[in-house]
Amino acid sequence: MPAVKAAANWQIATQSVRGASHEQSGAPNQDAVGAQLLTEARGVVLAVADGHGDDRHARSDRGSRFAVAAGIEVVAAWMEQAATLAEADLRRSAQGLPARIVKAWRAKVEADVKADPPADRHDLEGEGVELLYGSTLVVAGIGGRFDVFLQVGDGDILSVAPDGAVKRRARGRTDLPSHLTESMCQADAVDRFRMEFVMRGRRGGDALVMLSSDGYANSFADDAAFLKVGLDLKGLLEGRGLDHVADKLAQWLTETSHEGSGDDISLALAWDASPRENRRRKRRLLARAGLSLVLLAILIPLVTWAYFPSAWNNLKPAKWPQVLASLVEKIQGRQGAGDAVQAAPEDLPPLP
Amino acid sequence: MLRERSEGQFALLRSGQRLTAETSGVDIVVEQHIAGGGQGDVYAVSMGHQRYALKWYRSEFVRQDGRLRERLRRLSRRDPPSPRFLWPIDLVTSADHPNTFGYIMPFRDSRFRDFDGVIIGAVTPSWRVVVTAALETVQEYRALHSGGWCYMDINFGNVALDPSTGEVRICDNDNADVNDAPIDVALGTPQFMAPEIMRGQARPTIATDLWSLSVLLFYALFRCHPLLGAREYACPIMDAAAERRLYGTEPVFIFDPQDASNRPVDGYHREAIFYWPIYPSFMREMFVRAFTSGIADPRHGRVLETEWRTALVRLRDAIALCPYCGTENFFDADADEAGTCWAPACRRPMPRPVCLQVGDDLVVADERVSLYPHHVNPRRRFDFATAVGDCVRHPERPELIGLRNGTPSPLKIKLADGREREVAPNQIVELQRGMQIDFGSAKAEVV
Repeated sequence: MPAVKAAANWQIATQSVRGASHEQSGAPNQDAVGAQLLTEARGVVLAVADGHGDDRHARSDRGSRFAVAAGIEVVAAWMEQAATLAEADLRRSAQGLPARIVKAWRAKVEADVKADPPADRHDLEGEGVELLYGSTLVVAGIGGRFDVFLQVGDGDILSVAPDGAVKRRARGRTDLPSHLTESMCQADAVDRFRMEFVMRGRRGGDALVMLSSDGYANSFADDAAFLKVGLDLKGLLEGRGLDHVADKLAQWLTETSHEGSGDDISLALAWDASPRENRRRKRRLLARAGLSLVLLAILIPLVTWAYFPSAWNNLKPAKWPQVLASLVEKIQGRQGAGDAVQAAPEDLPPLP
Repeated sequence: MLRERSEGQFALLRSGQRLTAETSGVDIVVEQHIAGGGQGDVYAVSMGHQRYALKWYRSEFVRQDGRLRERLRRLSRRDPPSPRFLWPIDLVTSADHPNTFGYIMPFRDSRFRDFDGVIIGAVTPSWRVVVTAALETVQEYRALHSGGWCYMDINFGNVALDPSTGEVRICDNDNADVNDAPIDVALGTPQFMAPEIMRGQARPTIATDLWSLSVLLFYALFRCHPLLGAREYACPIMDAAAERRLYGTEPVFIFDPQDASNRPVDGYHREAIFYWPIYPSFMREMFVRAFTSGIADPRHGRVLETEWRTALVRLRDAIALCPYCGTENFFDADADEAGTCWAPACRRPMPRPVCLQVGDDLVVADERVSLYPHHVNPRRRFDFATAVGDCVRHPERPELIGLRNGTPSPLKIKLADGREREVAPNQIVELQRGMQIDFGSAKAEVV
């Protein structure tokens, strides 16, 4: 079941489907996804993680779950605390997020190793036990004043502005070989985080933020086709609302995996419902304007006829030319009488 | 870190299947699937009692590349440029698969790891090993090029290294062809393609190999791409058009001294910003030349293998361990002031290391450093086969460094105060500044 929650402005939805190739091989879904609404509508935190899945990273399905939990926990706590900081302090403080996330993830791994020690058969190749839990992580903290995007390894963060401009946030490296990814399990994971911090202006920021594991982007022919998803989703959210999109997500992602990468696909999205409120206001305004026009269209003839009561007697269509002619005559007569500087009668165009 | 590979289930050949080597007619038995890729799969096979690797092409690829069979036949009849090439030995065919074929090559020992793992940090060899592997790679491609061959697709997936020694193996030699040969399929990996190939103005040649080699060396030392900076960051979509622009029509080196429009972006191109300052200026200047005049003048502006070789030996000789944290630093003898350790957790000022000056060469004397005929015999440059001396630390007083005589004859030593003495083979002498060591073919001075 898709998870849907709503705060004052932000609505969120998450979904994760097992890849087509994993269905065949019986492997579990190694992705994890999560989202949390902050208290007092301070914003939302979204996270998606993709466990590496091969034998060297035998517990990567747990690793990705821990990554999502650590990412949400740390970023949510930071956003609650940082809500009142000045911009410069916010930026400085955000720099410490990767280290805190990695620390929280390692603590979860350590607890798991204690509770369920791995068998000796795992060859750690001289590296820490974290290797077994290898996973990527993308996290987004979206608030009223600022957004923070963090990423280690593959995965994508798309943001869509109210005007439809789609951007990639804190994107991962484009120059690495396709079968390798950076990871939470690396000793220098903290240094491998890519981060983007954005202050929201007075007009607000993005309307839609979408996080996905790389199985999604890899299912598209190219980057441009993938980026268009952001725009399509925004259109659907505006038109049909979040509940409709959330209901359909599982079906869409399963189809995408089958026809595309065959990989697990996870997606988390946050939709700012307030721009839609604005649009409703606009629609209400338009409706009012339309109604006023109709009323005017009714009132003007009424007033006209009230002003020229004789017209009431000539309402039959056959008499309308005469009615019009008499009206014109009356108007001309009044103008001629009332206005001394009016042009002489002979200058007027001939009447029909 | 590895991402899952699931091609195994789509393997084209079964274990136990028998195939025939074309020239020798010998039977080959498929043992197991090792790896898969776009062109085909690699299997472990046995021929007689020996283990080999077999690359078996997908029929679509054979159809696309009309010259493949002829090229491989030609390659397999030649001797490899050096034993470090996993060179095609013979073509392999099967009556069950008439539309495709494969070739056998030496089996890659499991101690070798893909070079791309180093870039991402999945394999973490010491800097000495990385520089050694870079040096070996340069030497191997030099051997290939000097035979009139062009590799065509030098990239980080085609070189494997032993993370403990830096010994390399050059894999995927099926693209290699005589220089400037006509080609049927678009060859190359976008990040490694020379700008003129990316623009569609040239075919792969030795000159374009030199470009790919310098990109590979940049990746090895700086862990990132030399052309991806602010221009990449500003690019909303990384599609074929963007790649063509960044790598082909508007390539700008991220540290181009004349053009600051493509500098690395803070927080995004972290590797470039972090690693660029740790290298001595001579090494940075080499890369500036490779990616400025190497772009402007593809025929004459690129750094040659011999130049890389000299620079990389010099770089390896400049490795000095931080006395506080043990991190490998690159000592810059040309710098005005002593540097600080680049390890973020240390950053302490480094004292000037004890060095051996032999002619123009300066070798930092530190643990695990050896002197080779290269250093002491001008007629045996680039001979690193057997050491003529090894540097060792005093077991109780680690601040003292000594040189063990690795030659079969005694070494004549002249101390700073003018006294002379001899060091017998295998004996150690403490290195003191001002001391001179006579290797016969050259004199070294401790500085």
